[in-house]
Amino acid sequence: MPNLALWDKYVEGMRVEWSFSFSREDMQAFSVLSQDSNPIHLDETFAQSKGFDAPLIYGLLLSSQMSRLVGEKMPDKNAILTGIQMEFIQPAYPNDQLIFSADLINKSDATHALEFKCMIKKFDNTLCRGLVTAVWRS
Amino acid sequence: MPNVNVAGIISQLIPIFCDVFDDDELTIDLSTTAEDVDGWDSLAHIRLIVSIEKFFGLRFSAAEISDLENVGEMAELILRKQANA
Repeated sequence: MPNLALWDKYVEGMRVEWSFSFSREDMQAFSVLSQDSNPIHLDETFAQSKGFDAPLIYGLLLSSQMSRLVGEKMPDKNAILTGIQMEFIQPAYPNDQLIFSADLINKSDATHALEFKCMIKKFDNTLCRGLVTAVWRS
Repeated sequence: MPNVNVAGIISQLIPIFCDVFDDDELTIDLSTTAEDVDGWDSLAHIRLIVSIEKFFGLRFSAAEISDLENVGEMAELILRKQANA
């Protein structure tokens, strides 16, 4: 029987938000884990030749904050990620100070499904936006 | 003869089922159950119920969903909730 007192801690409209950044060392680690060593992410000269200020942070490294949302930023440890969508609107660069925010936009009492609208911002600029779905199981 | 309103709900459910189960050829009727549809597991069931809630603008309780035996009963539940909205 699910513990509904825990489920009730999830409230539509609730927001979680935190700041984060990724270093060039983080980018190197991600390149090893992902087996993606495209120079757009690792080489300053190459990235600038493509019109960017610096190597781009991997989109899926930015999206890793969605894992942090479900795994670490929920009222309990009972949420399981079931889906993500992410649009990459503007580039993010190593050591940029970024803000990840997530708003709970849908909570289904019938299924214990959760849906969050997410955003990554640098100052007032939206760099990424997306959706995260999860299921809660106590 | 099936209630024509139930038939109307079924016709609205078909594209939802097709989308959730990624099968444009999928057909459903009043007697369809999870056993009749490939991939209708617990996670797909969650996606299905959430999609139905969003499409019809309704909220179901866990008890309402657990009592359903087939798609026909889901259609009847939708009609009842629309009537009480």
